Amino acid sequence: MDAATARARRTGPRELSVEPDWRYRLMWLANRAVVRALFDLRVSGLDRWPDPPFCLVANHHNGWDPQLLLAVVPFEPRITWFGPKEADFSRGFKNGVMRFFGGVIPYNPEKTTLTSAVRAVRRVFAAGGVLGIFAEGRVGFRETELLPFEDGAVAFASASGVPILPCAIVGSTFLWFRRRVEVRFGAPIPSVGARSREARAALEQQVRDAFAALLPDREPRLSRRRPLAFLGDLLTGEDDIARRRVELGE
Amino acid sequence: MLPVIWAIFAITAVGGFLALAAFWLDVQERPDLTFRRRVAWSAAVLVFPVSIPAYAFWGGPDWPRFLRAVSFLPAVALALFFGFLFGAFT
Repeated sequence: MDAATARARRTGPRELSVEPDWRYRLMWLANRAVVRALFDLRVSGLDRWPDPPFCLVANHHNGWDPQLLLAVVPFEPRITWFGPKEADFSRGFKNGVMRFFGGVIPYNPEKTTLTSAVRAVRRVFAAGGVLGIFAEGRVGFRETELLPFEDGAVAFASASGVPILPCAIVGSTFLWFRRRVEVRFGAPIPSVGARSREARAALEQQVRDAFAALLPDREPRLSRRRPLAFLGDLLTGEDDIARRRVELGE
Repeated sequence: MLPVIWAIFAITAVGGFLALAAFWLDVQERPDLTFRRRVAWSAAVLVFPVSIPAYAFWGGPDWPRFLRAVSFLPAVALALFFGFLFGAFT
């Protein structure tokens, strides 16, 4: 393998994954069956989806979040995910699975591959696709709060002039068998013209306000009964689990 | 009849493996279990056809009815396996 190919494997896919193919169909069906069997999923606001292209911005509590979202969204339009944050996308089982199914735009945590990732994002919007992004850039453990946003979500949407669709995932911080999880979609927020720093800041505040309306007022009370509680951490990274233990004093 | 029994065996075997994994991981993640009890339930995996239903019903994991039913799959799969082995199904 030459150096350029090896680098491309480490960087991850940059080709478009906007059109649903047989691999996506397989993943969508299998994911829907498994996730809906394991968890009690509720969805609201699906009728608020605008016509693509748009930027789907979600909060992030758990490694299951992309799967939870995928289990409630329609087959089309296909969501292309911005992420995962990986130094070397060519290694690891999880990365191998994502490589097989496609629909992801990985980027290096040191942001060394950001330029090509941003180009890939633009191509997704230009092809009429949907970009899914966890705006906080890392996992948060409070259901009622959002962490500060990273630059990506608002910058991508405003650069391409596509609307932002806020999506709150409620109840995924701790998961167990048949745990109720709600996926709430807000109204789309237009981003046309938000080019200046001030305009982007105002847009980000608008998105945060939309989230505030979707998030619960208080932290959910955790049931004492938590069958198969190990499910919750199956897809969450060790570092995130360790951080949660420290932050929540588990 | 044989293809039906094979199909049931295949389903119960896959379900049985999942039940076994669920049992093992659930035991490791139970914060309410003492170290001794955790070791005891973990060692009980050696007699999994009995220990998984015993855990599901009396081990205190609060498994819902569906999972309690699933806990019998390893035993059913094993019974069918020995049935094939000793020529019970022809």
